[in-house]
Amino acid sequence: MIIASDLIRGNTDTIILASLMMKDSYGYEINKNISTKTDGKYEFKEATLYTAFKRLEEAGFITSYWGEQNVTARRRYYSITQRGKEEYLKLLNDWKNAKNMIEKLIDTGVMENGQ
Amino acid sequence: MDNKLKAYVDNLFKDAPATAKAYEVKEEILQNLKDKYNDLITEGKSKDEAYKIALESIGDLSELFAELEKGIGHDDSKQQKYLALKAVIAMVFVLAAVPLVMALSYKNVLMNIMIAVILIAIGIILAIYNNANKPGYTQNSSQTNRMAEIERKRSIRKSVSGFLWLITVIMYFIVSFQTHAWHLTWLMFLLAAAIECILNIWLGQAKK
Repeated sequence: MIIASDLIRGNTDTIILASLMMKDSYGYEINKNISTKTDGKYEFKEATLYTAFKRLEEAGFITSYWGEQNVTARRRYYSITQRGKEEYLKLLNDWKNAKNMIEKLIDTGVMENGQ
Repeated sequence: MDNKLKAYVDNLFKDAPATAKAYEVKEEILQNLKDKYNDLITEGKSKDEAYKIALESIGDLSELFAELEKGIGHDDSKQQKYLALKAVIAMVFVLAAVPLVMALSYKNVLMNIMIAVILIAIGIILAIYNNANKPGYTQNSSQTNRMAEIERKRSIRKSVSGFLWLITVIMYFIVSFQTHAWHLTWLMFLLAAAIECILNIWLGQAKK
C-alpha cells in the first residue's frame, strides 16, 4: 500500500477537484466519500486536505462559503470554478498519460504468463 | 469529549499564523473531527478508540501553516494598502473643498482655484491608480498572469499620464490668461514632465 498512498498523495489536487465536479461539498464529506470509494483503505489527513484547499483556493480553482442550513455544525462548502474545471481536465489527461507510460515501463507480462 | 477535542486542536494551532483564515480552518478541522468521532461511536467504537482515531486523522499541520502564512503575505497587506490609499484619496478631495470655499469668500480666487484643481487632479490620479490595484480574488504567479499584470500597469500609466497633461494644458491657459506671465507659465510643462517621471518610478516601470 506504500506505492498506492504515495501515488494518491501526488494526485491530491486532482482527487479534490474530481470530488467537486458533481457538487459543492465540505471537508468531512469529501474525505468520507474517498474512504467509501477506496473501501476504507485511504483517506486524507486533515492537514493534507486543508493545505490542498488553501492552495487550490489561492490558485482560483475553487471557492468556498459557509453553509447555512445547520445550526450546530457550521460547515464550509467548497465549490469548483470554471478555471478549476479546466485544470481538472488537464490533470486528468496528465494522469492518463502517466498511467499508460508507467504501465508500459513496469509490466513485463510475468503475472499473465504465470511464471 | 467535544471539549477534549477542542482543547487538543487549540493546542495544535497555537503556532498557526494569527489570522481570520487560520481561525476558520481550525474551526473546520475541529468540526470534521467531531463528525468523525460521532460516526465512529455510531459504528460501535469505544470512546477512547474513537478519540484516538480522530486525533490520528489530523496529520502534520506544519505544511498547512506555511500555506496559511503565504496567504497573508500579499492578500492582507494588499488589502490594507488599498484601504489606506482610499482614505488618503477621500482626504485629498475633502481638502480640495477648502480652497474652493476660500475662493468663494476671499480675494485670492485664482490661487485658490488652482490649488483646488491640483488637489482634485492628485485625488483622481490616486483613485485611478488605486482602483487598478484593487486586490482581486487570486494572485497567481503564472506566466500569463504576469503578462496581464504588465499590460494592466502599462494601461494605468497611460491613462494617468494623459490626464496629467490635460490638466497641465488647462492650468497653463487659465493661469497665463489671468496673470499674463507668459514668460513664466511655460515652466508648468517642465513641472508636468518632472511629475510624470516621478509617477513612472512610482508605478514601478521605466517609460518605454
